[in-house]
Amino acid sequence: MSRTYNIALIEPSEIVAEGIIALLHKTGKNIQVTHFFEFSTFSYKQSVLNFQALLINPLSILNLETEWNKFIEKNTDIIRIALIYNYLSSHHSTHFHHVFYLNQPISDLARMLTETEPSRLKTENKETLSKREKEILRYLSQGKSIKEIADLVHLSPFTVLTHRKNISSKTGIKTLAGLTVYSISIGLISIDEMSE
Amino acid sequence: MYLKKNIELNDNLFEIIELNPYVLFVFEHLGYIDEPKNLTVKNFCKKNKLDERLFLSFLNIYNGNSDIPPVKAQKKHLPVIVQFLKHSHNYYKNEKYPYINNLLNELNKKVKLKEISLLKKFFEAYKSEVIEHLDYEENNVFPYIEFLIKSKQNNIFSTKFSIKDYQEHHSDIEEKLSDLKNLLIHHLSVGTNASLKRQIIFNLYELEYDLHAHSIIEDKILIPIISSIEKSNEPNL
Repeated sequence: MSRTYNIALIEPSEIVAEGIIALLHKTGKNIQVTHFFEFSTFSYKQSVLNFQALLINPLSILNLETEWNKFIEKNTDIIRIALIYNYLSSHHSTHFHHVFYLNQPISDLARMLTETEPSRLKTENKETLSKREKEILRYLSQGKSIKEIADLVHLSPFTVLTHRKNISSKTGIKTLAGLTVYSISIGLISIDEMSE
Repeated sequence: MYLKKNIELNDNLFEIIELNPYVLFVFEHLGYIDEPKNLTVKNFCKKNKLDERLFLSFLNIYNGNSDIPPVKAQKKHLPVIVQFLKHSHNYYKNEKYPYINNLLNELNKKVKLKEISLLKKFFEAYKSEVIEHLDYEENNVFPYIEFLIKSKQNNIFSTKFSIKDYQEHHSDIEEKLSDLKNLLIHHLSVGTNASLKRQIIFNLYELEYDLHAHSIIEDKILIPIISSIEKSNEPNL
């Protein structure tokens, strides 16, 4: 189990980058992180350093779509994870195998980074729900509004809405009634807790 | 689903049905159930006095090809379209929905899990919503079209209803049907009742296919014809 994972982090904020590196170190997994502030310096080094996974803030590739697409084409075996502070449009999420939100537990990120091979792209990938998504799904099934949930979990309504979209894309279920049936089936809520 | 082949006038109906049996809905909803079908589209139309362009559009839509050339906005098409829609409604209300409902009742009796009884309730609520929508069309849209068919020009505005009132709904209904399918396929366990589950899933797919084609016929054929008739009757200000 002592395999070393060589990963690249592209993140313009030093505070965020240092925080992630420190937390990943604490997971006990052998993850070596090389931090880049910009995409251009990273792509120059990629061929030499041979990273297995890339955690990137999509803001770093703003207006660099051509370079980014070339990189994806050449490096099909590298796991690409988007690092998101709060919101990501669905257009962007198709470029990534995973999306990691800053408010998710670091163990989620460690799991994404240490996959042995890239899974299918995010939009096609039916992963299990994260802890946060389950929490939000539970409140939704109880009939709480996005605004009420945002207050309860101390997130913006926009972020809650993004979680709601991700829950639907992972489960394939869009309507509230359908999500409630799903919540019951996985034991997330009991019949008594259900919304009318 | 199925071939998106563009059906043409000289294609043989026998072959079209062989490739995609769902086009049989077109014949049933038009009321041509037992008529011989080993003919070209052109000859079938000639024999049954059907407008070629309109019939071809129905066939193509039910063959998964909704990219059809516009049908001429002529009043003579309206009785055929209304008849088609009425037959479809009758089939949904008296056959398809009750049939799926029975299968779900049976599943609920056999699998004593709360999520299955909840799924049954979900279906029932969805079914009521669809039936309400179909009733609305029968009570408001169809009488309005029948009024248009009979009316002479210029007295159309004596009715309060207009086709603009009608262009809503649909998408929510489609999402619920898709959820029902996905819950059964991906998330709900039914123990030893696989065959029952499969029957429900296949019936939901069939219903979804038919409803989708039905709404395309309304949006791409019926509404443009009505709008055009309404426009031609607008007083020139």
